[in-house]
Amino acid sequence: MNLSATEKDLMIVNMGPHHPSMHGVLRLIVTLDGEDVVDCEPILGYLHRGMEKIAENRTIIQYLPYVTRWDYLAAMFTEAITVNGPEQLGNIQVPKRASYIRVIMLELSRIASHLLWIGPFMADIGAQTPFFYIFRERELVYDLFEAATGMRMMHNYFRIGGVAADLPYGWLDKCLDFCDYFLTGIVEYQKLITRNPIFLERVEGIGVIGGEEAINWGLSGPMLRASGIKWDLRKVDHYECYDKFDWEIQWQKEGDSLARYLVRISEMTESIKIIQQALEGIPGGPYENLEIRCFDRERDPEWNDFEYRFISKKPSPTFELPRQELYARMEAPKGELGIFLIGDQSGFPWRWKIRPPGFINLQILPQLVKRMKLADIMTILGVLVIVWLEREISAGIQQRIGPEYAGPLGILQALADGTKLLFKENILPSRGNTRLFSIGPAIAVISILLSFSVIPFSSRLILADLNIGIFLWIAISSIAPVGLLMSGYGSNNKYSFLGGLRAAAQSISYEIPLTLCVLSISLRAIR
Amino acid sequence: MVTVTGRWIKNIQMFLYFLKIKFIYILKFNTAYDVAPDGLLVSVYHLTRIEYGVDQPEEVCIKVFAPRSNPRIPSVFWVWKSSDFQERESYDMLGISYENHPRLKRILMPESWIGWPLRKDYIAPNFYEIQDAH
Repeated sequence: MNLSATEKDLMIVNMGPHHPSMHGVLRLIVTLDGEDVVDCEPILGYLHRGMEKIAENRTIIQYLPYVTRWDYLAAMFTEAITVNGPEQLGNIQVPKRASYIRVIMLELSRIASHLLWIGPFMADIGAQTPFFYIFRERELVYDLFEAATGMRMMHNYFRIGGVAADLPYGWLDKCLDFCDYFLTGIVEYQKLITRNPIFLERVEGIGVIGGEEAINWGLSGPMLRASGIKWDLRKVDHYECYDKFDWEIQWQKEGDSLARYLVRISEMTESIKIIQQALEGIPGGPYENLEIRCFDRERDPEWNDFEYRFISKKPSPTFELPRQELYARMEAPKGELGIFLIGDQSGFPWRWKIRPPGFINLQILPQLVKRMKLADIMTILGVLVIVWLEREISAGIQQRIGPEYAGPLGILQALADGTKLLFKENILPSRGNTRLFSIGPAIAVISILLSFSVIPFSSRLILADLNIGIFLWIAISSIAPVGLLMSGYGSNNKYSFLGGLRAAAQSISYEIPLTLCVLSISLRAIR
Repeated sequence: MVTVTGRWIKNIQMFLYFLKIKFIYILKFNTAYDVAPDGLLVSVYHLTRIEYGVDQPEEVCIKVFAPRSNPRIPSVFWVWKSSDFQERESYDMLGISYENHPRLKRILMPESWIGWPLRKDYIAPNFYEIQDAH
């Protein structure tokens, strides 16, 4: 084969904004040379919701529900930064108990976020199982959050000066139980994933970033720590009360995707350590600094008068941001989440700029994928852990125990299912056409079984070469869709009807081409 | 905080490069805002020094004021690559165009959008609710 036959045309592929498996909307225009990636251009903006512009027209309390929707995997961090900014602007002290509660919630959120990162990441690589296991643990975290804050995901729990409500009675014990259970869970993940040779093949040496480059590109969070830079804002900035606990910064040296995975797994273990220490040492006391709630109601008595009240929406008296600017930051699970806040002497900020960790971490993607194969794009993208917003994660993923009971390793499961279908109780819809409903499946099954009777077997079960009308066989097996239609119609349920229609359409769509092919051959053979 | 206005804007690139080399600063983020509905546009660079074992790392905040009618600031992409998306965002939202940026396109809004959304005098098209004038 001569090489001149292959053209050096690069192919441009659009990995479109929609992705399966929870990646959110990111459009990548990838230039490929065979399997190798030459260039990649991310196109953003499909989920631009105008959060910064909206913030200029909302008070902090009004803005808190928006904030949890930035990074919904770890909603507590976004709330914490929204509240930390004004607190630092206004020099507001947070009581000790509130600080401990915040740290516990933040670390639980960090665990939840890393868990939900592992799931889709492994699913992209090809392992579907961890995707379900993480939801098992995340459900426990959701339960804890729901008991304390009232919501599973979009908590709206933090307030300026503390938290919105105190922890319910018995929450601390439940949380300790969760910590003990979760340590066994991490061991399970390690057994499944970390030494798995397929996983290592896919992940080792992919997407290497050196330390210098990581700093140049402005990475933060686990991406930075996996490249050998020990930079963790919890240790650097000494915010909340992380100094009171004994924990280490997790970091790795290689800078490839495996290193980032290891950093995140060990961060989860460290978070459990922090939570356990916080739970042991949580003090009593108030959970919110109520000083900020006293307002001066005498401002502008003329404009707040009865005659002027209908003119425009006036927010209720609330915390006023002093006329200063500030950059507050914290260590979110994705990286460094920061807010640049310019206050005007009013309830609304003048400028609220969000420094999103995922946005900044995404910049390095075109460089990382330069010499990789196409399949590695998902590995690298997964490890960048960028959160866009898809529809809300359906937490109704069922906790079904797998079918491993019928026979050893579940091999008799199909037989068991079939037998169950034959012997189970017949349920007839009260308002449907019961005759059609019960006869329908019978017709489908009988016609298919009948069609086997036409197949001629001679001695020793060898197919005999007889002139059986093949159209007879096609005709008998084609009666089956009628049965599907009958039972669908007789069920008095529009979804079942649609399902029956669909199944019948599918069966017929096989038979028409089949018949036409056989017809042409038989006509040729007859002559 | 360092403020840069007027004809010193061209030197911003050299200054930041000098900071990076001599003092190992990294760009934490770069944003922009406008001072008043008809005032200057400001581009803010927030730099931090990565050091280990320090209580509070040193930080520098540099603000570049540009006139509203022709806001052009040299890009610092060649100093720190992390300003790639951030400068595009400032361009998209406020209209500050950065010279020598390799691909200065709109990043969040669609390419065909007219107007600079985060400016204070921006009027959202087809938006007929009551907007409080600032």
